[in-house]
Amino acid sequence: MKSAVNQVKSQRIASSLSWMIFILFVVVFVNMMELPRVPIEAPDKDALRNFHIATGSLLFACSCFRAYFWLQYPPQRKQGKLPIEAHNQLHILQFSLYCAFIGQGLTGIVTAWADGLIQFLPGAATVNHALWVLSGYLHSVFGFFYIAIIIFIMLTGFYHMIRYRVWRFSIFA
Amino acid sequence: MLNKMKFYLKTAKKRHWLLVLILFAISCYLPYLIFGAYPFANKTNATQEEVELLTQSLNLPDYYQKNLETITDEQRQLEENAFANWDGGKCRFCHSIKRDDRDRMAPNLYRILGKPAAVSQNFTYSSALIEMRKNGLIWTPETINAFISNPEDYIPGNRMRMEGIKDPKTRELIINYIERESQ
Repeated sequence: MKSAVNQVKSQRIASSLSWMIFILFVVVFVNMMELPRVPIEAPDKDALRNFHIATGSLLFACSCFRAYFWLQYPPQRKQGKLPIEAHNQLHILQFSLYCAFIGQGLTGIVTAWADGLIQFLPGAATVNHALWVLSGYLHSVFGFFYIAIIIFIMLTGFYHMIRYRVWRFSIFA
Repeated sequence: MLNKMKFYLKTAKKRHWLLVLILFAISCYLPYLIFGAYPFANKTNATQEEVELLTQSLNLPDYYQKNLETITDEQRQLEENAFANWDGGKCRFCHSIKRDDRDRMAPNLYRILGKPAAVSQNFTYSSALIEMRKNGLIWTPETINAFISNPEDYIPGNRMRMEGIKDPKTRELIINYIERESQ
């Protein structure tokens, strides 16, 4: 009985986290599209960059919690018509999406740290060009990775719709 | 938790993970393909002696002693916009230019005029550009003009992923800006 209550509670938390991640993702994505269009010396640039770091960090933290909940209480198979294998494939893609956000967050923090934009110890010299280049590259890799996963989740959704007559459009489980 | 994870991971077929792995592998290549980015930076590409050796036999003008004509603030802004803006050459998004600027994704352009190709620090050049250095390419207003009008045509296989600036006026403004910032 107790574990059933826990399961319901955790599903609620997981669902709230998923919604939060979705909203944060949209905000960070719009910010990311806007950021390169603002000239480097423009006063707006710093504000946009700081906003990117703040919302990105929040997205990273939420994704860590979501992945933890996912492993503790894996999402239930709600669509009875969907074969177990198709369900697993979809869930692996969705779980990988949260992992991509975690990877994106970690590399983003390292990039900002190596660029001197965030400091954990005041006055410490953290600027490191080689690390900035490597982590920046990986930050970009994870960006492409989550876009690829989202496209595949959508394609899988269409496939399930045609093949199994299952109507599902949620990208974030 | 580990047991739950193990069980959860085991329920998936290998090909499901393979798909994720393939997507990640493709993603690893995309920043290089689309932006020309490279994950590692070479500290030194050529020593000062090597640079001098490449330029000593050439009779190049001193671009930094030249008296540039005085321009209005409006003209100066036009030059900066051509270099830095999204609607201009977009150069500033990858290149730094000012004396005290830190290196970014692409080489710093401060005092680039009169320098051989592929000699800046903190950047890994494409083999195409290194080959051009060996062939004696020196950055002058003329070679920069030719390069930015169509980079892929001028140096095939280089990593500056841009279409090229078709408008000669914009190219002229960019080159003037580089010259002015290097004074």
